[in-house]
Amino acid sequence: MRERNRQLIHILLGIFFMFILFLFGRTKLIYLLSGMIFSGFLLVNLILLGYRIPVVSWFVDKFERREAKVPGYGSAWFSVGVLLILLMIPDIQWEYAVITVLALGDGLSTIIGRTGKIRLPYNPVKTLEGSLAFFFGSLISGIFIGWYAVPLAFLCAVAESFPIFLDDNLMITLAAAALFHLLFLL
Amino acid sequence: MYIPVFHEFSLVLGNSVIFFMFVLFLVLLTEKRPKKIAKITFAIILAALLVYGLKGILQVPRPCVGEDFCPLSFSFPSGHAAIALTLMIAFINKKSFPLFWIFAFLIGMSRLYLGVHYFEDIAAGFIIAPVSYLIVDTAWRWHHERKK
Repeated sequence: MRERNRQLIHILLGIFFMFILFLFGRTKLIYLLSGMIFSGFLLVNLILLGYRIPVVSWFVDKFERREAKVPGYGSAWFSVGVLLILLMIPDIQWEYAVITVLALGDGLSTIIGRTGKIRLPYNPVKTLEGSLAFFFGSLISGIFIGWYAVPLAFLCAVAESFPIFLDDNLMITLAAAALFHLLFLL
Repeated sequence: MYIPVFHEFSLVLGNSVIFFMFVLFLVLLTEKRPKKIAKITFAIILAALLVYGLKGILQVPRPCVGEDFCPLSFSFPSGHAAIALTLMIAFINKKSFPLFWIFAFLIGMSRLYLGVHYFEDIAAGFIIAPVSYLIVDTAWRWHHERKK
């Protein structure tokens, strides 16, 4: 239940960022994300020092994974991932698409992957059902980039499933940016 | 716009050598454990390597290009911001953190104030800093677990 709620927050945050991108544009979203990440560091420090911060502490108690390294770890990497998309992908349709993948694909893979039975041979922590949920959930990004959504969803699903210590949000974004640059800029 | 004290602060710490020495001074002033000092130094070196690698690959010209005061290196990403943020993250669970938070804020603002960076260059520091620290932290733990 806790993990499902956490992923719902993840998806809602993605939708919120897409709205900001739609309404105010790329530069304003970069300002917002930078401000959020920078002020977030100070809030994390205060929580780690034992202070209770209204609303923020409630969110951390309710939604953060118990094994998280620091409070707000997931949200921080998600915001960093979206910032990376904006800085590395110079096409607004692709920016919408990759935020969709990051929010929906990753969210669905965690919700469905936890109930999965078939473990991935190269990463026993993740399941085939989770990766398939990621792939099919990410195909919705086709609304923005058409058939390019298929290689994007596939590559991001593979990147997400690998057992690398870097956060999933970062791996997905790097894979998407690599694909974009391979297709259009090289 | 000319802001007297901040202008001097920006100019002095704009010099890369003085900036690195000041960062080292801040680390030695606030951290006494040699292992932690080594870990922070590695994270800062990694951040600097990533910055200079990306500058070389992307080759984004600075907003001040053509001006006398403009540094010769490329613009994206900002090395000053990335290093100040890496230093800040290293102290995330310490009482001294607000000092590093303010330092990182002033460094970021000073680069914009001098007109030597775009905001995107500073924002890239928010990616490079946590990635650098995470890589060094993971490698550090892995190395110590192997030794045990």
